[in-house]
Amino acid sequence: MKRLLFFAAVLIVAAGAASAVFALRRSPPAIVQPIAFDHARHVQEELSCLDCHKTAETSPQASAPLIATCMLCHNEAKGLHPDEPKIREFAERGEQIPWVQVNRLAGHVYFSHAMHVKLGKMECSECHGDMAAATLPVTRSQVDHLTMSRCMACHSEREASNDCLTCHK
Amino acid sequence: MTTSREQPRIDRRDALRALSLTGLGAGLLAGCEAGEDPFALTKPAVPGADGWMRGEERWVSTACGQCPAGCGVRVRVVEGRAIKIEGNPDCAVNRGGIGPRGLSGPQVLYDPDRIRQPLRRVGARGEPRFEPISWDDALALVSERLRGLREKNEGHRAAIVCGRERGLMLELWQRFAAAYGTPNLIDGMSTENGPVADAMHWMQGVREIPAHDWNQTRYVVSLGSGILESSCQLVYFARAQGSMRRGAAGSRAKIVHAGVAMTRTAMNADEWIAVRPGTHAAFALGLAHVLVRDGLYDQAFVAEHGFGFDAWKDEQGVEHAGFKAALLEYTPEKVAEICGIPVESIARIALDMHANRPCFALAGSEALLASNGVRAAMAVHALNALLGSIDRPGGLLVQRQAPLADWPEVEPDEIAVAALAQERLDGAGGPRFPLASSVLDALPEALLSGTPYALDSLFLYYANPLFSRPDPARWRKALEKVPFIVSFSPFLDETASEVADLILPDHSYLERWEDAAPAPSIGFAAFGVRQPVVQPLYSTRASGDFVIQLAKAIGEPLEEAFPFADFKDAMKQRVVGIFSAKRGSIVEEKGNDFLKRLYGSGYWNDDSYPFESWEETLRTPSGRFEFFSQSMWKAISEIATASGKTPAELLAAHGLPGDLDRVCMPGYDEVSWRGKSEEHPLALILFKPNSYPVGGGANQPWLQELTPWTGRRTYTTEAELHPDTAQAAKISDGDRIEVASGVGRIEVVARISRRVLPGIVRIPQGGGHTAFGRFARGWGANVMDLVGVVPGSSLSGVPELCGTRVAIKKVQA
Repeated sequence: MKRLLFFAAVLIVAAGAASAVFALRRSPPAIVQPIAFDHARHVQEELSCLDCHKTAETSPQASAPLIATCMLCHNEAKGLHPDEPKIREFAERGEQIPWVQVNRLAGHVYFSHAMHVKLGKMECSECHGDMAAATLPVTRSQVDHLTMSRCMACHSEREASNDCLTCHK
Repeated sequence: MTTSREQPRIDRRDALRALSLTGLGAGLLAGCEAGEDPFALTKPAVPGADGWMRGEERWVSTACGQCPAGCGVRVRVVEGRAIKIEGNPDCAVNRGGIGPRGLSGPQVLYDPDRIRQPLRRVGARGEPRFEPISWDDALALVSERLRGLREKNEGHRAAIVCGRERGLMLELWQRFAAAYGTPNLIDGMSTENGPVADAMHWMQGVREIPAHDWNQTRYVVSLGSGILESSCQLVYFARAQGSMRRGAAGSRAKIVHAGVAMTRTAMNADEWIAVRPGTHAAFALGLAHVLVRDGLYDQAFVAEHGFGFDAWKDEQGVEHAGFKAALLEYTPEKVAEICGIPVESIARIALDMHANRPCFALAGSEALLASNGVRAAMAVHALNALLGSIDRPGGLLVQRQAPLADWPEVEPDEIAVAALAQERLDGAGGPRFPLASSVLDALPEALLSGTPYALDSLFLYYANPLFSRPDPARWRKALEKVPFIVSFSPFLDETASEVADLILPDHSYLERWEDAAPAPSIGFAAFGVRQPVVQPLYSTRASGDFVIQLAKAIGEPLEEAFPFADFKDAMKQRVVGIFSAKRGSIVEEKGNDFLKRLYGSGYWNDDSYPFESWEETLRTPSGRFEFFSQSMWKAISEIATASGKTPAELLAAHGLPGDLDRVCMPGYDEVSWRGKSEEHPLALILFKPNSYPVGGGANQPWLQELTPWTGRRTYTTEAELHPDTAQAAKISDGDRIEVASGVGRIEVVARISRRVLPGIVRIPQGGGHTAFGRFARGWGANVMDLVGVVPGSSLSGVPELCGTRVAIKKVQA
C-alpha cells in the first residue's frame, strides 16, 4: 500500500513538474537585453523620449535608435556603467545593438504611435509609465497592462472611437 | 507473504525509476525547445537593413511595374523590407486606387525563384543547367560577340526583342540599335495594341493608342473591348466607369457592349449585343451607315477636318472613291445578317449615340486580333470621327507627352548605316508586311528559313516567346537556330530556361530606376518615376544600366552615343525638359528642389488638356482626319513599285480582294479563319484575365487565386462553352476536354455557360507554364499551343489570336 502511495505521490510530483515546465514554455522567458539600458540616466541628461525613439510621432512604430545615434555620446567612456563599453564594441564590429522587442501586438491589432502621440497628444508615460525612474531595461511584466480593456477604457474616457475597425483593421 | 503492517521496501531502484518517470513526463510535455522565445519573429536578412532604425518605416512613392498602365504607388517599407503597396493619390491614372497586380508586387520582389546572379548555360539547350558568372565576365562575353559582328559588317545579324510599347527603356534599346547598326528591333506594340495604334497612325498620323475622355462622355459603345477584365488599365477604367455612372439624375452615361460573350465588361454594361466572332467591324460600319444615311453625323467636323469622306482627286487627277460611298453597302439589314443580331438594334444604337453625344466607340482584342483587325480598328475610328468625337470633350484624345528633353542625336557610323539599310528579319515595312512597323510573330519563319539572312545574336528584354507567343513549339525550333541568345528575365521563364545561353537578370521593378510613361488613359501629359524602394536583394542589375555599360564596352562609336553614367543619369537628362517647362504639378526654380519633389511624389502631370489642337492631333499628310488614308495608299504603292509589282498584285499576293482604294478605307473583311470548318467547326476566342494577362503574373500566388470567372476553380485552365456546343459534343460541366486545332491540342476543363455564344470555345491565357517558378509551372494549359504563329493575310502582321478554328471532344478518363 505504501509503495502504491509512493508511486502515486511520484506521479503527482511528475505531473506537477511537467505542468510547471509546460507553463514556463507557454510564457516567454525573461528578456535579457544586450545592454542593461538605464532610461533614468539618459533622462537625467535631458534627453527626451523622441531623441531616441525618433519615429514615435510619425510612424506606427516608435523606433529604437541606430548605433550611430548612441555613438554620438558614447564614442568615448561616459560614467561607470559596466555595459557601456559594449556599445563601442558593437560599433567597432560594425553591428547594430540587437535590442530585444519587449511587447508585440497580435497581428489582428493595428496600433499607431503617431496617431496617439501626434493627434491624441498623449504623453509617453501614460502608457509606458515613468521611464524617467527606470534604471533597468523594461520587462514583460511592465507591459502586461497594455490590454484591450485598457485601450477601450482610455478611448471611452477621451471620447475616441471604440468601433471594432478602429483597431482591428 | 507480506502483512498489512509490513513496510514495503522502497529501494534505490524504485526511487530511480520514479525520478526517470518524472523526468520523462516533464521532458515529453516540455519538448526540447524550452528556453527559446516562442513569440520571437525571425526577420530574413536583407541588404541595407542595418541602415534602418528598429521599427522604422518609410513610405516610398514609385510607379507600379506590373503592367504598362503606369499607376503611381506608395510602398510601405519597414526596416528595409517592402511590406505593402498602396495606390498613390497624387497619380491621376489611379488616384489612390490599385489593381490586384499592383497589390501583389511584394510577391515579385520576394519570389523565392528569382534568378540571383548572371547565369551561363553549361548543358545542352532544353535543360535548365547553368553556372553562375560574374557581371564583368558577362559584359565581356556579350560585348566581344557584338564587337566581332560589327567588325565583320554583320551588325544586322543581331536582333533585339523589347517587350515594351513605350518609355525610355524602349528608346534606349532603339538608340542602341541605331548606334550599333541593326534594323532588327521589335517592340511590344506589335503584339497587342498594334491594330488600334495603326488605325491612329493611318487616319490621324499618330502611332499610339488613343485615350478616352471617360469623365465627360455620355455614351460608350464597346466593340469586344475587355476594359474591365483584360485591360492593363483596369484601375483607371473601373474608376472611370464608376465616375461616369455617378452623375446627376438623368445624366447617367450608358455603355453598350458588342461581343461574343457576357464578359465582365458586358456584365457592367447597360446592354450586351451578342455579335458573331470577328464581325465587330461590320457592326461599327452599320452604325456609321445609319448616321450618314440619316444625316446625323458631325458634318461640320467632316467638312472642316475630314479627308476622303467624299470622292477626291489626287495630284495626277485620278479620282478615288470616298468613305461615304464605301459605307453604302453596310445597310442595317446586311450588317444584322453578318453579325447575327436584330436589325432594329443597329439603328436604335446609332440614334442613341447621336442623341447622347459626346460619345465614343472603342474596340478590343476580340475585334482586333484577327486577319481583319486593322480595318476593324479603322472602322471604329471612322465611327468616332463621324460622331465628332475626335479630340473633343467626352471623345477620343491623343495622349499628350511629358515635355522631356531629347538625348543627343545618334550619329551612326558607316558600318551602322550599312547594317541599318538591310532588310528587316520580320519583313515589317517590306513586301511581306508593308504596313507593319514590327512583327514579332514573323521571326520564327525567318529564323527557320534563314532568310533574308541568319541571325547570330538575339536579345530578349521582357519577352518570353516560348510561352506567350502563338505556337511555342515552332518558336522553340526557330530559336534553336540562333547561336547566341541573351535573356534579361528576372525569372527562369520558359525561354530563359530552355534556350537562353546567357541570363542577365534585371532588378525587380521595386529595386530599379526607370521612367513610367503611362499607357494612354488620362490624355494629359504625365510622367511617373520608378525608383528603388529597397536595396537590390541579389546580384542582379538594371537592364538599362547594362545596356549603357555594353555600349561603353563595345567602344566607339557606341560609347559616344551613350554619354550617361547609368540609366538614372540618362533619365535625369530627359527630366530636365519637364523642369525647364515650368508647368504642371511640380514647378521649382532650382533643379535639385524639382528632383526632390519629383522623387518624393513619384509623379508629375500637367492636367490641362488642349482640346481641338488639330496641328498636334491630326498629323496626316492632309493635316486632316483621313477617312481615306493617303499615307497607307502611298506606303503600299511605294513598296509594290519597289518589289516590281502593281499595288493590286501586291494585295492579291496577300489574298486581299479589290483595289487599293478599298484597302485604304475602313471596311469589313470576313475573318480568314485558320483551319477548315469541317474538321474544326468551332471558333477559338482567347482572352486575357485581369490577374495574369499573358502569363506575366502566373508566378504570383495571390493573382493565381483570382480566377478568370468569379468563383471558379483556381490553378486550372477552363474553356467556356455554350450548352448547345457542349451538348453536341456530349460534354458536361467539369469534364476534361481536348481542344484541338490544326496547330496543336491542349486539355482543359469544360465550363458550360450561357454567357457565351454557341459555336465558340473561349479560353483564358496564362496557364500551362512549364517553367517560371514553383507557383507558375505545372498547372493548366497554354492556349497559345492552338494558335498558328505566322501572321496570315494581314498587311500589318497582326497576331491572329482570335482567328483559329478548333474542335473539342471529351477526354475519356
